[in-house]
Order: sequence, then structure tokens, then C-alpha cells
Amino acid sequence: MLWEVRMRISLSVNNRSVESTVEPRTLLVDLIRDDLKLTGTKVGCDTGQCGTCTVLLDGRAVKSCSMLAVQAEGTRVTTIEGANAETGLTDLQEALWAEHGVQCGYCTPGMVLALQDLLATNKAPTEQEIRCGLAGNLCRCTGYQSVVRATLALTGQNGGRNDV
Amino acid sequence: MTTTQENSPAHVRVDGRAKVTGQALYTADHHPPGLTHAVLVGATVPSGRVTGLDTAAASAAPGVLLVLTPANRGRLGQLPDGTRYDGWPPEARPPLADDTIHRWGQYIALVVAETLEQAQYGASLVRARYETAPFATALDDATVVSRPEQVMGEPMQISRGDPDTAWADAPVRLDVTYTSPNNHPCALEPHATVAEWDGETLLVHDSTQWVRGDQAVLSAAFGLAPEAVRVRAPYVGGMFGSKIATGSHTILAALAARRIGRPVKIVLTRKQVLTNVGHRSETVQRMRVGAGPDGSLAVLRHDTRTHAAVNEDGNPSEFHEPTSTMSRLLYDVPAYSATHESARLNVMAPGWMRAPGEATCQWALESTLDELAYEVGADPLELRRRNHAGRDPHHDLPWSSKHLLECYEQGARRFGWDRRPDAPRSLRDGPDLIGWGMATATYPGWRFGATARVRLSGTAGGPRATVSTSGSEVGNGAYTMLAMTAAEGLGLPVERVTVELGDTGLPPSAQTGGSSLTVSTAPAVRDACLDIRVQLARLAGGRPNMADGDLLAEVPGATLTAEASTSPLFLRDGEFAYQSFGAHFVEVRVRPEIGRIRVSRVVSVFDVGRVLNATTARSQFIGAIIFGIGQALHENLIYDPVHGLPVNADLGGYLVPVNADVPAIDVSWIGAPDLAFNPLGCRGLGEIGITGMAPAIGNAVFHATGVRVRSLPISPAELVR
Repeated sequence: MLWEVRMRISLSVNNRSVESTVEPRTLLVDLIRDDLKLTGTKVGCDTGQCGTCTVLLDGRAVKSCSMLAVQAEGTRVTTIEGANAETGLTDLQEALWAEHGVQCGYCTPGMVLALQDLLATNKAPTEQEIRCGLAGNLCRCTGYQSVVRATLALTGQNGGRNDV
Repeated sequence: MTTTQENSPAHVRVDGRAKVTGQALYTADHHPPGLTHAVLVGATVPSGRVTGLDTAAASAAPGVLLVLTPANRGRLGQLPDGTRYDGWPPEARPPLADDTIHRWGQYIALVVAETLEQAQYGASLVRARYETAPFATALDDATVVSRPEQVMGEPMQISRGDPDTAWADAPVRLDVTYTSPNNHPCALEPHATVAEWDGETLLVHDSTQWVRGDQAVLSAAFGLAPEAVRVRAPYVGGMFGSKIATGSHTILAALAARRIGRPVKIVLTRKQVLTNVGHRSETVQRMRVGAGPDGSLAVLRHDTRTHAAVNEDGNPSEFHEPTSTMSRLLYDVPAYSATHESARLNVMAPGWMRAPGEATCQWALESTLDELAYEVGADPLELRRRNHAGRDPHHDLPWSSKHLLECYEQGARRFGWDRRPDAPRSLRDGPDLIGWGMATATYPGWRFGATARVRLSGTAGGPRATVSTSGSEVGNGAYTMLAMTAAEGLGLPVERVTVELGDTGLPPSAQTGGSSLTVSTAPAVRDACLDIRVQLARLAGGRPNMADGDLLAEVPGATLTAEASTSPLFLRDGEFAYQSFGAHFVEVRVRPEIGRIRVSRVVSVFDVGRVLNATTARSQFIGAIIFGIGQALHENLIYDPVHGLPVNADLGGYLVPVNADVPAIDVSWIGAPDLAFNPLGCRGLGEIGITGMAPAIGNAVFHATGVRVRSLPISPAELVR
């Protein structure tokens, strides 16, 4: 029977190698949250719209609710727990905190990783590029302004503006 | 601490580190040992009866531990009905009560299994047969209509002056009807519960804005003393009203956990959130205004039709979107009447959503006033000044503090309103039509009351304080505001204050709702700090005027503790009416060929008393303004009138504002303290930002296009007809 099938996968999660036995139907996000207990990754919509489950897969942002765990075989996964700097916060996290890009905090881990992906390929994104880079991440609290402002401040582009 | 241009202190969130690193633990992040997973099964008809429920295959599926149905649910105690504000079930009828079905999605079974996947598969195997009955999910199809006398203690059918005569005599009359659809709070964190028992003691992690409400409902359901139920919610991923009532899923999680003797986790799917958690109900509002030739209001008649749920009929605490609560007091109108009808629909019982009643009222009222301004040839802002209410005409009381005229003045100046041409379609920029609109914002002053405990301890590194109260941090900034209040009260740096929240084991607090947590709790923290200073002064030999540093030097190795409380205050007392105000000025750009509407600029000014923290306040205002953009242009939960289910119950179909919808926003505030409301002079500010946004946008759309749209969300289709 299908539900008796188990598959062995190996992948790297936050620079640690992980061997896991999963059902083929297990979602990547459930492997991360339930098996590995890395609960900084969230689930918000089940259908790939909200972006709270965003992780990096080989350095690129993906929605871990819309991937099977077995599809991550052989990849490098980075969750919010692995995105933190060894000495504390990354500059991006410091900027989000300082500019108040956080309210309830539920969307924040996904925002951090989506921005990390954006900044890896574009060191100085424009306001429009930031908004596009976060197109897959919903926030119901902040109204997004402070997240965009934090990113501009991080890359030295905000010029003291408060109305972004 | 820095100071903003508005002279309010500013401080970054003290919970910021936990949140940017993903370390903040929300309900579904808890994995107690032996955890099991539960999935709810919903009815697939909107009305009728379950004639057969086959759970054999589900029960036999791998990993399934329990299938709960009405047949084996067992007895639940009588739940509180909400009328005493002690606890609130989402529907009067408890979950899995019997085989009758009142709405699509109503829970008919719960499947518990070792893993989430096994529970999901088990749930898919539950088979139900139904006998269907007639139903209605559209206002026009309803066969039963009630006329609620009150909502939350405020009368719904009211009259003052002589509206009939005033209407007959009015030189200028408008009779217009505005509609708004079902909206949903749709916080990003889905509702979730993790329940575990230790003998006859229940521990519940819950995504709630009211741990004590949960405690009251759960202790009643299981026949326990309240102290035997501990509810924790130290971090909540947004709520906007949707986490006040104790969800049916929370009761069922606790029931299942007791039955199998292991912890149970339930996380609602987004579809279940949109189907089974109360929404803001649709409204049809007929507005009749009579005025003098200069637009001075002589009469306002506000007749509303909204809906409730069929199975709530007669429940004294049921919620009907109370649309007339603001129209009765916002302007100086001598003759006024309001009526309220509530149709019975086969839908989830409606609930509270950010500014419930106020956001819908302002849509109809402020749009109608814009129409009146054009009717009499007055500037829309000038029309509002002419009708300014110097005292509360409904309660016949003076305002405790009102600076609305300053909001108008400051907003108009920051926006450049004096450059606005009156005529519609007179501003263009390339292919776009530009429109400027404005509206008044308003929200009542509520205080639900809270107790806070402050503990000051001497440590090797100097004194440290801990503030404890059971209210929840839901994104509002409670940790930060209370830390700042205690730091100021004790003369400590904010970093030396720890705040504990969201736990029934802490001193009592009402719900985090009604924009009231900070205004209820911060004054109690302040009073507790004063108490501690008096204790310190006594220790120091009775020198109460000594400086902070000297006082704190007296902190002994032992700990000083003080508790203080605030009392509830709803809208008014014998002396004053308490109300917040504001003004929105909005620019839209409309592409006429396709009717595309973009909000390109917002200037908002608020009068909410003293602002305790500029950083968190600004973010709350902006977040609520964006909620208003959603109300105006996007949000619409649509029920299929043929099958009776919400057809867009996911975040692909229920549209909330996204990053690209957000314009430049200039938020400021007057900052005059309202010391009659509380000793800190602050009124709540979490909700006022949404009120008035939808009409300001609609009025700007009219100014851009000359098309008056009276239904929400404003659709491009209306502009290209």
C-alpha cells in the first residue's frame, strides 16, 4: 500500500547533514517543522500564496509547503535557524528590527529568507525590486512599508525617508 | 530612545530579536512528547441532517487513534454565552452537538492520528450521507429576519429629535444605499491549539487574543475549576478580532486529548479559517440625509441590513455588525434615526473584524457626505467642518478630548488639499486620471480593564523589573509598551525590564481587543511602579522625593512586588464621551481604459491621545490603513448561492493587499493627552486607521472619474461601463 512506502533521503539542513526516512507524501515543510523541529519556518495558507514557509534551497527561496520532502534529496536547505549569524543577528535582521519591519512576527522568517535570496543576486535593489522580490510574501500587520524601508536602509538607499 | 517629530518616545520592539530569528514560539510550534495530530471534517451541504456517518474506514486507517463524532462525543458542560464578557464560544451550539447541519463546513467529525499525514488521510475516508434542507447564503434569499435591540450593550434601533419632520422640511435631500461584502480578518497564523492533560489539569497552547476567555469556556466545557485550566499564548500571529471566541477546534482538541490520554494538536487549514472562523458580515446601508443649502445637516437616517447565522437565532450575545454606532455621534445632526435588520443565513456566525461596525459605518457615512458636498457645491473638507460636533450628540455629553479640526487642518496641509480642483476628472497625469478624496476616521475609547504585577529585584548587575499580566502580544507591541511604561515608572533602562504575557497563570487581563490592551494595562503598570517607589522610599527612610538613582540603590536583595488594576470603561461615563478621531487624505490614479485603481498617496492624521511609542504606533496606523485599502479594493468572501459554500476560501481567491498595492503613506498624530480617559492620556489606536479609508478611496475614485461606486470592493468593471 502507498502509505507503507518509506523513502530514505539525505540532504543538508543548515549545514548539517540530515538522513531521514519519510513517506512520499510528506511535505518539505512538515519534515522541517515536525521531524527536525525547526519551527521558525511557518505554515500560513497551505496553497503557496503566503510565503511564511519560505526556505532557501541551494540558495534560492522556495515555498516549502509546495514541495515534497523527497524533492529536497541531495540539496542544501537553509531555514531561518540557519540564516542567523553565528555571532548574533545578520545585518538584514538588524535592519528589520531597527526599522520595525516586524509586528506579529509570523511572516518574518519567510521575509528574511526571501530578502536574503533577493540580496544575494542584487546588492542594491530599488524600492520596486524589493516589492517584487517580496511579491510572494504576505503580511497582514505591518502594511509592508517598514520591511521595504529596512531593506533600503540596509543597502544605504533610504536617505532618511520615512514615507516609503 | 529617540524622539520623533511628534514628540512621542520611540523604541524598537523588545520582542524583535525573537521574531527576526524565528525563535518566537507560536501555538503550532509546540511539540510535547507523545504529540498526536487531529484533522477536522466539515459538512459538504449547507443545511439539513447527517443521515449516515461511516467512520469504519477512517478508524481502521494506519495510525488513526480516534474518530470523534456526535455519536461518541459525550457530554460537554454548558458553555458561557458571552453576555457576561467572561468567555465566548464562536457559536451558541457546541461542536458535534447532533446530526443537524446549519452551514457548509460545519464540523461533523475529528480524526486523530499519530502523524499529520495519517490524520489527513483518515479524515478523507469519513463518509457522510445527508438529507438536505432549504438554505440561504444571500441576503435576498433569507426567509427569516430579526431586528436586534442591542449589540454589545449599544442600542441598534434608535431615534432622536423629529426625523420625519426634518426629512420632510429639508431643502436638500439625498437617499442613497451603500453595500459592503463579507470580509475576513485572515491573520497569517491559522488558528491552532495544542491540548494536553495531566490528570484533571488541562494545559492548552492556543492561538487566542484572550487566554482567560479560553479558560472560562474550557473549564465550563469540562466541568473544571478555572484554575485547573491553564491557557498560554505568549506569541500570537495576528488576529484582528478573529481570535476572541474560543474556537470549536480548541474545545475538540481538549476533548480528544482527554479521550486518548495524549497531547493533541489541531491547526486549521486556511480554508477552514475562512469557513469556520467568523467573518465581518456584509451590509446594506440606506443613508438618507437632509441638509440646508450650505450642507448643514438637519437629519440623518441610517437603515442597515446585515446578517447573522440561522442557528444563532435568539442567542443574546450574537454579533450583528453594528453599523450605526458611529453615525449617531460623529456629526452635529439634530434629528437622527437608525434601524437594524439581521437576516438569518446558513453561514458561520459572524464575528469581529478590525473596527467592527466602525469600518462599515464609515464607508456609508463618509461616502454619503462626499455626495452631499457635491450636491451643495461645498468642498468635502469644508462640509465636515460645518457639521463638526462640539459635543457627543448621542450621549449628550462633552468629549473628554477632541482634536478633529486639527487633524483636518494638519492633514490638508501635509497633503496639499488646497490645490484640489472641485470638479471630477480635472486632474490628469499622462494616461492616468488622478483623484483626491478625504474622509473622517473615528473609533471609540474602550478600556476593558486589567491587572498588572510589577516585581523589582536587586541582582548582582543592578535592579531588574518583571511585568506580568495575562493579556496577549498579537503584533500590537504589548511587550514593548509595557516594558517602556515600567522603565519610565521605575527609572530603569528598558533593557532591564522583562515582560511576561499571554498566560492564565498571570494576573488577569481582558482580551487583547477593542484597541484596549495598552490603554487598560499600561496605567496599571504605572500604578504598580508608583507603589514600588513608595515602598522604596519607605525603605530609604521616608524620602519620597529622592532621585531615581538613589531610590534604586535601596533595592535590597529581596524582591518588591506591587499589583494594580484598571476598571472597564466603555465609550462614556457620567462626565464624558471618549472617542478617537482622525482624517485620511487619499490620492488615486485610475487608468480609464481598464478601470485599474492604484492608491498612490495617503496622508493620515490621528487624535488618539498621547502616543506611548511612536515606532509601534506608526506601524499599527499604517497596517490598519492597508487593511482599509483591502476593504476598498480587494476583500470579498463570496458564498455560492447554489451550493452554499464560500468559493474563494484560500489566499489565492480571498485577496488581501500585497506589497505592490502599498503607496507612500504619511502618518502623524496630534498627541494631546486624554487624561480623563486614563492617567497616561492614551486612547487605543490599533483599529482607527481602517475607519474612513474605504470612503476616502471611493471619494478619490469619484473625483478622478466622475463615477460614484456604492458597493465594495470597488471594481474596475464599475469604471469602464
